[in-house]
Amino acid sequence: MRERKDTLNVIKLIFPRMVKSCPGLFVLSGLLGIANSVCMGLLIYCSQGLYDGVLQAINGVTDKGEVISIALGFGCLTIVNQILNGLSVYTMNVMFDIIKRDLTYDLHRKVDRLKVISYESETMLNQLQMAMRGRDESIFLLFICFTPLTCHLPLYIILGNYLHMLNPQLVWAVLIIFLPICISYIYKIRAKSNLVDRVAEPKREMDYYYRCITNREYFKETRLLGAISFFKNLFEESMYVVNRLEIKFQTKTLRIDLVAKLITILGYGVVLYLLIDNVVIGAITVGAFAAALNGIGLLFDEMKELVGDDIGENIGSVGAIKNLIDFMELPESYGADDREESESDKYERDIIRLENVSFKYPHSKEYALKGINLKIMPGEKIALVGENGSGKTTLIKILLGLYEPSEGKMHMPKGMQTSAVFQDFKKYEMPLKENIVISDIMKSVDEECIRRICEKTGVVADINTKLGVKFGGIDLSGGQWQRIAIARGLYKKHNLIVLDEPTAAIDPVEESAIYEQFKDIVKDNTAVLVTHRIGSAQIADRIIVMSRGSIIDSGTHQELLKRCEEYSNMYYAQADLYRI
Amino acid sequence: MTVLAGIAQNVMIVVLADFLDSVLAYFSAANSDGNIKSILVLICAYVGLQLFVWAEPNLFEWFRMKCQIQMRRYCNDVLLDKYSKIKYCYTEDDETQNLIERVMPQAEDKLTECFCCYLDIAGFIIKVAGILVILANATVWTALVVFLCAAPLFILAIKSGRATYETAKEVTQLQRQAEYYSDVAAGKEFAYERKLFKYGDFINAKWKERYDVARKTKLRTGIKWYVKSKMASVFTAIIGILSTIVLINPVLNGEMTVGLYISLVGAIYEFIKVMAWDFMEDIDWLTNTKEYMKDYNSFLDLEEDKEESGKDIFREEFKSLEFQNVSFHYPNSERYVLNGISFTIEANKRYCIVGTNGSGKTTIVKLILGLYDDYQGKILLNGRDVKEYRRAEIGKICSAVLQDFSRYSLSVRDNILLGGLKYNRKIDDAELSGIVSEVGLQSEVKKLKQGMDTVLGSHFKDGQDFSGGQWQRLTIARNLAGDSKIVFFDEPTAALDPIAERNFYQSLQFISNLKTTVVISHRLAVTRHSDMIYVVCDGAIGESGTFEELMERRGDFFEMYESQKVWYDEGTKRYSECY
Repeated sequence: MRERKDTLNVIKLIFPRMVKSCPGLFVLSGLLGIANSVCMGLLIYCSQGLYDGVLQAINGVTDKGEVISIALGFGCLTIVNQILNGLSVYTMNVMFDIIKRDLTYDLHRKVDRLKVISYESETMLNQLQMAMRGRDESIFLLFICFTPLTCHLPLYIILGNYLHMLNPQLVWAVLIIFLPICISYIYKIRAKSNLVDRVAEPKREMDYYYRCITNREYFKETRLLGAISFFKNLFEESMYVVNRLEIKFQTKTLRIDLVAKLITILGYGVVLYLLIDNVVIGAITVGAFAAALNGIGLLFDEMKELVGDDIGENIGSVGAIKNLIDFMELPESYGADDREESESDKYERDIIRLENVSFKYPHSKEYALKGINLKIMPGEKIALVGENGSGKTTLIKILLGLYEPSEGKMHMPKGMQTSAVFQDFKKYEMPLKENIVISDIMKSVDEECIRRICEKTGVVADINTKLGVKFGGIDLSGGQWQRIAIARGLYKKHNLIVLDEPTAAIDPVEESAIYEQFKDIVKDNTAVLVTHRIGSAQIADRIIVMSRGSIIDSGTHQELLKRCEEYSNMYYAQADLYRI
Repeated sequence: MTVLAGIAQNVMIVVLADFLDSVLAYFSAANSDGNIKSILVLICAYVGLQLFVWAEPNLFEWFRMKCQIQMRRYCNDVLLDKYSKIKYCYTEDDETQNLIERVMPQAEDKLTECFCCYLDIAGFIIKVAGILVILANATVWTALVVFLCAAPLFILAIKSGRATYETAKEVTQLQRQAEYYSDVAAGKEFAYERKLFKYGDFINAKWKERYDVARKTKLRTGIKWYVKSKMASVFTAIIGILSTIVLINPVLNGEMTVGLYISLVGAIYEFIKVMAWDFMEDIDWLTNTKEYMKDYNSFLDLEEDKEESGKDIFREEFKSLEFQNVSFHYPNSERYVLNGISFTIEANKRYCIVGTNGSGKTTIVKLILGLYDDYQGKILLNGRDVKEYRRAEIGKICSAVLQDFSRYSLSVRDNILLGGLKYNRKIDDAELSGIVSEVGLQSEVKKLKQGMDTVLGSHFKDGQDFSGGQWQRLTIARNLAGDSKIVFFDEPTAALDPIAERNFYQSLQFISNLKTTVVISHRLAVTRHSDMIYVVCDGAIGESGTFEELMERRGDFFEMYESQKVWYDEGTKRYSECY
């Protein structure tokens, strides 16, 4: 019961949204569908006319010319039917493409407005995936709710009317024919969604082991290890499970289908008997008999198409559509700029201030950051050091406004513009120019400015070069991509810039060059540099040492070396390697 | 077996369709005689046949599933076998990689589809033939006329199928571009930059633009397709009209029974419907899969490594490895990455290969591991040309810890045991925990819920994740589980924090007691602990020697080393220079 109510709700929510995309097309394709379906019904009437005409012609009641004109009419109607059919399917496809576009567009928008933190949770990624599926499924649901009304219902009415005209009993007999089929399809639908659930896990395994052999991520090592047959065995084991489940399902549904068909055919026999009886009595003509047979055949085909291909495959989808709707209702974030300004002490206003900030990733028990107190003066250059997992990256994400503190307060000066070069910066498969301006698309494109930034950061390619091999651009070395990432970070208007390991992909000589340019690159802006090269932290005004989610000390290199054990450990771990 | 069943089924359908026609014909003939008994028999026969016709799709679906499962077994077996044998260099070649990505994932579906298409078309042809035969029985010349009209239709359909494929390819290309923008607009990996740079709406608009370009191209080709397929069905309809009209004569003359006429007309109009969609779709599919089969075959034709899977591989000890004047450029580029490089690696020493980015360091490992073999010059292993070795033999002597090592979502145990597979080594629990503690993972493993049997990675539920440094140690443990005599480390410390980096150097010390080690890196700190350093510069050895010798020489190495070291000078001379 509840399930049905859910389905109705889902339909109520999603359909107006979809129809709004292209109301004109929606009406047009509906009309075409109805016309097509009416046409099909008329054909049955027409065929009776033709058959009777031929019979009468044999008996000499009508002349040949008349029969031929009936045949011509019949043929023309068939042609019209075909053309209408083509048009209706075509407009429907056009409509679905547009609906898909608009739903996807909304989905993209929604994703963009979600809090970034939600990307860290596996559930949200699953939700997104399900929502994407829900998008396709809603189009399908529209299809299976829409076509019965336009393409099937008129036909059923006309055919039912026709059969009723021949003999009212026929209508009931025909209904009985279809009942077992409907029941068997409902069963099938249930069984199918059950199968999908049970097969999901072994299928996932199967896919994964397959990828362990063939994916770029794995193939080299798997081959070098000689582990192909190892993974092949794992793959085949999972495949065996999947196969067994599928065979079981198909065999079972086949059995049910056959039983249903058997019952149907008995009903069909009865209908046939009724028809023949009527012919023998002389209640209906032989032509009507043949037409009725054709009609029932048609009805059966259409019914099969409706319940079988359309509903049968996809009824499990209402759940997926619900996912889409739920997804569209996830809470949004309102951008980093909207943070309110709390106090208005003149002196304090321009300072970035973190007060007792703690942060916990969703679904995680431990705090990634604990009680962070930090002030960053305008124009100050800060270096952030600490082991992997000490919370550096989380802290900069808070500074950039990408995450909100779970506890505590952060004060960002009004009008603060942030920019960053991330450790895992992206490589955009677009021209170099777009790779850079993408960081600030509101700014009017000034090629001279782009060139200047490229020159400063050591990007050598021409700004119109297409990059990335996917769509036929050129590939660059890791170092060049890194420089582009830096250029991108600088292009965005900013007065705070965060550089997270900006030199991981660059060799030592170039690395040193970039660090030496550091002051020149960041100019008067406030800057935060995250680095594993402890030595290079010295270019900052102040070094902050992090460990296990807390700031354990901060100061200049010399000060920290004297008093902070953690820092000196890290420093000497590297420095010792260079000591002769 | 399956083929036979399919053909048999289709033959049966058609035979039954024929029966159906004649039963109807007999029926109306019988009807006029008023013989109720024979009518009943015919009803039963007809109903029985109808049952089969209706149940046939179910049987076919079942059969299709069987076929799919058969194909799944067969394809994956053949393709994975082939994949494991093709030359290593293919796996690094973009074009081949694309081919593989096109061929492998959809093999099962495509082959099943192709197979079912053939059956469909066979059924279709038999149906046509059946109608023609029945026609011919009544009047030979109408059958001939219908046949002559229908023949060009087939040719038209096949031709249009090919054209559709061509345009579909164009649409796919456009859709792939749109998909990329969709990824930038909503993909996880772009999340941070998207938020920070606020380009979400901009990219979304761009996506919409591209989607519309793809959509409109698709619509244009769609119209063509519909017009063609509708033309086909209109054409068939015209033949239908012609034959209904033409056939009226024989009926009136008494050459043909009314029953046969009625059933034929019914069959012809039924046929028009099939013609309208199914046949055109089948033809499209066929051309489509035909193109796929081209890919499939060119995949199977890829060159294989020689005797990759030979059994009793003899394993030599490692004595030396020598590059003699080796030059090499990647297949898709003219530039020589290695330019007459020569050096020697001897057993039980510690080596370092250093150099700037793009100087060709990593390529050296690729050549040794046999990823490429079309280089000039000679590589000698124990004095013999490596080309004389079988790949598996080299694989047993040389191993590598790659920069982009794989993170298998397997248990900790399996992750390590993978390394021993090649050597058929049985590793007991004691040895396993020995290895784990050698690489410094024992405390981490203890912390895991199921210890050694905990599944790592995020692919499966309950999977535990490791940090980058932990994964790397696991990879080293995997290497230790093997029994290679020389191991190459490619940029092992690029992503490690200082403490993890130091831990790595400690493990390295340990490993170098067991094996010859070669570390390839642009971080120079490691060179201190090596016996021999090769500095690669523009694809050749620029300098070589021990650390002290190289520092003395004050060349490239000295400069590189200083540029890193200066950040750690106590005097902070450079530090002040910066300001």
